Amino acid sequence: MRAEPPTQGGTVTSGDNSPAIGFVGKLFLSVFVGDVVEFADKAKSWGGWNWPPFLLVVSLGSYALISAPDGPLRQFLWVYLAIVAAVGLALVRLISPSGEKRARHWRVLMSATAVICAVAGTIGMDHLSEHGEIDVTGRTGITAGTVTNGSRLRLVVDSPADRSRLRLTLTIRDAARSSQFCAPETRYSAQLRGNASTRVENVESGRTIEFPLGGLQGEIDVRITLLTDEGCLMNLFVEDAVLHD
Amino acid sequence: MAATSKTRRSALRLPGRVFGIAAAVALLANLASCSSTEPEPEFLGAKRITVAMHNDLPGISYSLNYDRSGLDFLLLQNVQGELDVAFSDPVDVSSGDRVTQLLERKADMTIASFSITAERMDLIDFVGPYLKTRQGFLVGPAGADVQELEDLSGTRICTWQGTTSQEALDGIRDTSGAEPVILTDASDCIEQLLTGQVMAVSTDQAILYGFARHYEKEGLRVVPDVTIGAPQYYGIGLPKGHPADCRKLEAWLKKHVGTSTWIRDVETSLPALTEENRAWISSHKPKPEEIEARSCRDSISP
Repeated sequence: MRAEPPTQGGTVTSGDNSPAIGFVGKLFLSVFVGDVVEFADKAKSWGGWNWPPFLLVVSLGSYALISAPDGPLRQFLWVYLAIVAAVGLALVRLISPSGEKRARHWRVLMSATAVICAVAGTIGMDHLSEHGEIDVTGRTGITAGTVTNGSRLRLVVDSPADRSRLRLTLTIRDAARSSQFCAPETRYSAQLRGNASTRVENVESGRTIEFPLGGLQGEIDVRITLLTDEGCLMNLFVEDAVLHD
Repeated sequence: MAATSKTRRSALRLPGRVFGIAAAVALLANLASCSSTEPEPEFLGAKRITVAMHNDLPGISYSLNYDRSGLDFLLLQNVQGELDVAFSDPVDVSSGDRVTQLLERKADMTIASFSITAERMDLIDFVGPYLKTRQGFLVGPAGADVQELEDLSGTRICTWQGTTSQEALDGIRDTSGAEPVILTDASDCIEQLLTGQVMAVSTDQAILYGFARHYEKEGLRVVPDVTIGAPQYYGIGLPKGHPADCRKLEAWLKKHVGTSTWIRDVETSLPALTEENRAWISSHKPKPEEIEARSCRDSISP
């Protein structure tokens, strides 16, 4: 004996003859809002005034996401959280039943908070587009090959100086791994080409240094000098290069 | 009457004495059992440590009629004095087998003029350096005129397998046109030098100064101030996986290289080195930060 497919309000929502809503869509709705028909009934009861803030929040959130610039993910974290909070609050406001006068205050508060979060997220994304960090590690090249004590290297960032500072981390490794271990004592000095005031000295592998780029025209060009024990063969790699304000 | 009371008193004391003796015997037995069940001290997961050493490097690690000498051997004696664990007689190792012997656990520790390199650090742990040196050249009477690297151009220079010296020697093939000759071990190279088949032997100066003193009568000498390659840092090799023991040895070594014992051991073992280089301490003694940067590390991060 086979069980009859469940029906509600005379409409078949599952089984061979059900409307082609799609399994995933139905699953989503059933998980988040319960039965499809019940959801549809609820939707009818949503007041017309609930929609404008919801649509505003969704529009602002979409704009913020579309206009997101490149850059390290961690700097976008608070913006994404604000957008998620805004959409979540707006959705809750939309589907919560209207009724008591007291509950109405909460609904107003939710709408206001959702709009504020969405505006904050949009402004935040706009700010990051203007002043956020730009990861230029992949666009940074350094003189290739094995280097020794006193070797001079050139590091070039193939990107306009769109921010006021460059944050740089270089890694130093032994080139002749089978016959030496010189990395611990190896250091380098670095400066922006033609700007001795930016010189940093005695930098060890993995240490982050900063260069001010104010007023720099053209490509970012850093001159590096290696300091290691006589006879050591070394390699330098760009671990991290970030433009920021 | 008095005699009766004395006898009675002794009769009364008898069980007490028996009890006292029994208690003492029990206590001794207990102590004996305690000492026998106490776990034997371990180091590197072993109750008895086997150390691998060279036996053919005078001044560094040399064995003649089972009598060992040299800087590495003196270091081993200091390590034995420091660690509360039993040691077996050292086993011999060739330069090429030092890493394998540790990996296969045929030895628990290697003290064998073992240069710390990035590649070896991937496989084993080091505690060190306990000595710094550079690669130099040992010449015989035929090389009396050799004063600088250019004087060796076009000549045959010998080194042996399993050392870090080969790479730097290959490097000077291009610059000075010297021909590297790679033999099995140190004694092969010294023999060829003594018979004039090669012009020079090239390896760490610490080792060369040991040979120079050993073959003083044959006229072997180290060419002063001529070095190639990167500095070499001698470390104690250990198998990986024993960080606490490794750190314990590191802490001891940092103290040891700052003592007069370390200076005396180098002066005793390598008199040719210390007599020829008055500033040998600044060039050969490791700094604590150099030991910290190389000891017990899994990665090559500085």
